[in-house]
Amino acid sequence: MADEFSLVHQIDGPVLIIRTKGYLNDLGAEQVDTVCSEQLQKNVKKIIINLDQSPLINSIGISILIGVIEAIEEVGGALAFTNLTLTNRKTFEMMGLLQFAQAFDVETDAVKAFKSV
Amino acid sequence: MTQEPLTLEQSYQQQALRFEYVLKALSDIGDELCRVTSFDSQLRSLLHLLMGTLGVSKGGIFIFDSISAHLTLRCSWKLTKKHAVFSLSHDEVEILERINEPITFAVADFPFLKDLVAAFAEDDLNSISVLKVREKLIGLLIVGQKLKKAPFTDKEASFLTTLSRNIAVAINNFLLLTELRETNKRLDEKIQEVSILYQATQMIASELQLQTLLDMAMNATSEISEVIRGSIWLFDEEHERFALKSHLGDSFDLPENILLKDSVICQSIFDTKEPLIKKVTAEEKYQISSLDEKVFGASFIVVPIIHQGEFLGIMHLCEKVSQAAFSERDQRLIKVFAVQLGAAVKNAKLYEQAITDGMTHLYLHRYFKQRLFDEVKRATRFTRSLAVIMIDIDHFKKLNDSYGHQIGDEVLKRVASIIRKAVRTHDLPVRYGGEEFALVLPETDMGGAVAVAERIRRNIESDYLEVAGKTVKITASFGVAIYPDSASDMDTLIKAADVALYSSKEHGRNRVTPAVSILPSTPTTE
Repeated sequence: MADEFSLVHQIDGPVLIIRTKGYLNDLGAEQVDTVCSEQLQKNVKKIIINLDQSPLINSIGISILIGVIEAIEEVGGALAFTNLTLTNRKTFEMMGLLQFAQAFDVETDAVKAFKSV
Repeated sequence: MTQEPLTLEQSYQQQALRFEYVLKALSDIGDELCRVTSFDSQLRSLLHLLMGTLGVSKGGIFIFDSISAHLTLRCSWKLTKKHAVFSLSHDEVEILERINEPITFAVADFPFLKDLVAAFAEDDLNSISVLKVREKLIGLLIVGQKLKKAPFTDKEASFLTTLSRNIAVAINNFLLLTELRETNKRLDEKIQEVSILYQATQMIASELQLQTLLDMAMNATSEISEVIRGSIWLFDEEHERFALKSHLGDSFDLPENILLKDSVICQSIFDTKEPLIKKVTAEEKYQISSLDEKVFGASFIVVPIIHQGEFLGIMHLCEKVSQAAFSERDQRLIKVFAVQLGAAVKNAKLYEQAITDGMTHLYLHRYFKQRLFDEVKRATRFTRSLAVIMIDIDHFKKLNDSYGHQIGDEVLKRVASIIRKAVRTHDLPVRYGGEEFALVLPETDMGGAVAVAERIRRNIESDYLEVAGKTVKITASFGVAIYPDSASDMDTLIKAADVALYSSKEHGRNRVTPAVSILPSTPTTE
């Protein structure tokens, strides 16, 4: 049985970093949406979601990430995913998520990219 | 960012991946149904599954209630409205239930429920699906746009239809399951009711001692409906009154008897033979007599105790532990219990008649022997003392000859009444025969028994009768024997008490004589 979903978040300058843990399928994954909404309201518009500890993502998780993308798009922000498994990368591409968000191999690359812009 | 055109193989691979993704969503729907969660959390999961599969960011599920004909938004994500209820006409329901294909519509093409569509105009919805199982309308599914308002492909429209059907079945199954759970719950409650009643009736069914039976019944009712105040009154036909026999809670406010004519409530139940269940409103309160309010309280159930049409009394219950009103369940259980109680009370009364003397209301000689036999066994087992007092009215024959049998009977009744008043609940007052009485006192030694005998002797001595202007005084003689001090078994115990009584007669009557001890005397040292 998959572990219960949890997340931690950190503000690094202009960037919000969210690190998730567990199967991104439970309604607990709505926490990602909540944290993003809160920080967008505080004008933090660059968001990195590190999925290293969440190798399994199903359509519930995708639906929440789509919501996050839409919210970031509305305020002209930017989103990046890091540490995607090959399967997740393919799913994200297929569902069009990577048309609106960048994918990085590791979190530090994403932070560097966001800070340099 | 420009994308290179896909090769045919890449295109097939992507399609295969898409189908795999949808299949996974279908399998997740199945998993979701197996999870033990609330209906609302299942609906939210189903909605997210669908949205994630299609790639849309907002949506909602309406549930249709066929009884109220209301279509209620039960679950939503990112919609402007979180609550919405629409009343459907009979025709609208019929049209939606008759829809065959397609069940999914682009919002602009949806020809029904215009007010619903208008209410969500701000959300820029993409599609509406009618959720139904066979010909039964389950609800409605609304979904928003894909990212950047990309149109649904034919495949995605087909997925939406397939997923909508699965969601409809899932909701229907969940509702059926909920109904089944409710039915099971009701069934469990029924089983519990029957079990409570069974235990209560088992308890009272075999009890023949009327007082014990009524006390048991009172306690059983407190188990059945959690009452903390109540009472049982038996009807005395001769005097047209109800006598208080048992009660729960305080009794200092309760009279010993209620005359039928003084109580509207008693009269009503006596006339109708039907239960009276009342939650007295402030208005009604003034119509109730102060006696009725004192006895029955403001909110109560009073049920008749009836056996084969014979009115035996009433059982009254008020004040629950929770202060809550009596529920339908309470009323049902109490009524059924009262029917059982009727049969048990009748049996106990018949038994009481069979073992007591009609004139003195004391126990008969035959019952005395049976009970004394049991008490001797019990005293032996628990190494306790047991006292027997034999009582004989002095010069009774002379009194009968001088004043007649009617006065003789009156004397017997007076002495019996004095004896009855002097004993404890577990003592046994007996009319032994003629003018002889006996008293069995469990767990009593010689000192205690002699004290009881002395008290009765004095009370008889101080009593008197007025006959034709003359004062008739009576006295009685007593013999007291103790098991095992005075005798080794039941017969010798009676004999020892008899010998002691004879000694009282020999030594001038109106006295108490203790029997001689048969135990070896303990040597004393000086």
